[in-house]
Amino acid sequence: MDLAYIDNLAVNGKGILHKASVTSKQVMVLLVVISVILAKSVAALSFITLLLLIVMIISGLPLNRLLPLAAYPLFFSVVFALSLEGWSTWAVIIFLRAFNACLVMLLLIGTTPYHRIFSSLRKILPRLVVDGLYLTYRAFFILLEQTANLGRSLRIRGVQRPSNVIKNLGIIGQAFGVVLLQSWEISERMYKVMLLRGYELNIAGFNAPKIRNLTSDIFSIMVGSCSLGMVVILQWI
Amino acid sequence: MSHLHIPDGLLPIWLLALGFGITGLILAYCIFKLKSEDYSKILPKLAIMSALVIVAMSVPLGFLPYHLNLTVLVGIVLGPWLGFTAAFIINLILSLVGHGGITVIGVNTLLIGLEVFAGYYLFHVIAKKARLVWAAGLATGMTLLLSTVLMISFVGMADFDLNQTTFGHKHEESATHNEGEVHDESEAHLAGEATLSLSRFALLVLPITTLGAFIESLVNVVIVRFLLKVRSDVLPVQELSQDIPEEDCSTESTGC
Repeated sequence: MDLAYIDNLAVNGKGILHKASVTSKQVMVLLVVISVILAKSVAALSFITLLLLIVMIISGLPLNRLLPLAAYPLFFSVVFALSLEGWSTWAVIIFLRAFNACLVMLLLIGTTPYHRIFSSLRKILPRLVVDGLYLTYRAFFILLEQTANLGRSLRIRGVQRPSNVIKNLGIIGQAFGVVLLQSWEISERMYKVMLLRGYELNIAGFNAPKIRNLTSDIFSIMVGSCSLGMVVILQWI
Repeated sequence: MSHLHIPDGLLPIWLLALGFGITGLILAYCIFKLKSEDYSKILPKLAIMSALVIVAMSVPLGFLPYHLNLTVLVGIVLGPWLGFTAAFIINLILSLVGHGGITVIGVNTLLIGLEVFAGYYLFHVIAKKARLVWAAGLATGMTLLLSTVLMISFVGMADFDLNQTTFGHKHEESATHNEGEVHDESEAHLAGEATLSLSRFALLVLPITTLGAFIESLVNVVIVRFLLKVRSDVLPVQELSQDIPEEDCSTESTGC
């Protein structure tokens, strides 16, 4: 889950969707998810897949780095596909629904910095949750680095015992214990910093300049409308 | 795999709406219960534990298609109200990166939230009779098995008739209707009938999740043992008023 790479794409990208407002992209996601839910034909879902891939290319997102992220939900689609009785094209539909839903989310997070996504949620979520999202996102990168360093230290010291699963689990447990402890101490330092800076539940009050690009907004809404429109045309008309 | 990795478009709308509705109500109650807390104190803990769970979910356990959840540990450390809030944050962030659908956030939060609640209360109940480390292990195992059963129940409740649209339209039964036969030309391109076999689904999922529950119980035993030795104040030791055996004590432990 290379969130740092996705973050970099979102912040430094120059594609058409990067210039669109968060609201228009959220509308696009909503329309695509609705069309994915409604679609019952391989043709409609394939159209959505093609459309989203083209939009990703136009937006300058590297498919070779992002498509592997879609493999994770696809793997679990296999479980549901294998559980089907009466084999039909539904197995393919399950795959395509999972793939398309993941693609549109990658499109959103690959073209929108995380703080804008979280800020937009201020209108519907409590402040504690939104500020929690900010800090969690930041803390994730800190913990990821610590976990990677710890794993490297363990490997260098030859602590891991691949042949002894129970021993290895014990080592994993202690490693997570160390990470938990370090993260607990980080949280205590965070508390002191927030006290010093007079935190009053307003991290999400960060006033980023609003993005205003009508062409990009219309483009993103058109993408969502096209996918929904094609589902309606192919299935009901 | 206690939370649903189900993608968007498989669960019916009524279940998704119910999931969001109940999650919203519980979340509102949790925020109400946390109103009197110092937010600058609880927010870093909430963020750190949520981030730890996301990191744990990013680390697969070798060849197994399973990752640690640590949600029971979150319940033990943060308590039920902050723990449920963490469950929602975790699911929201994971759905943004495609680890679980965006429409199943409500249902997933209920599942993980259940692990937090059940883990917290089971830990407290078992800790009155057993040592803290074993209480953690038993609470983890029981909670994860319970959440797996619930996950399978959710899937069963969804009543997977994949010919059913999400607006509840069903193909009418007819005497001449065979599997795959279409009713008119406009539906010729649609898929044939298919039903999710719950027993087959359970057969695929149960072995992995049972093994995963066992592994996570072991890992949590080790983590809790480590914390008791080094920083027992991270755990609710004082609440339990339990005497910690000397071998589990640390100089900072308040229970020794």
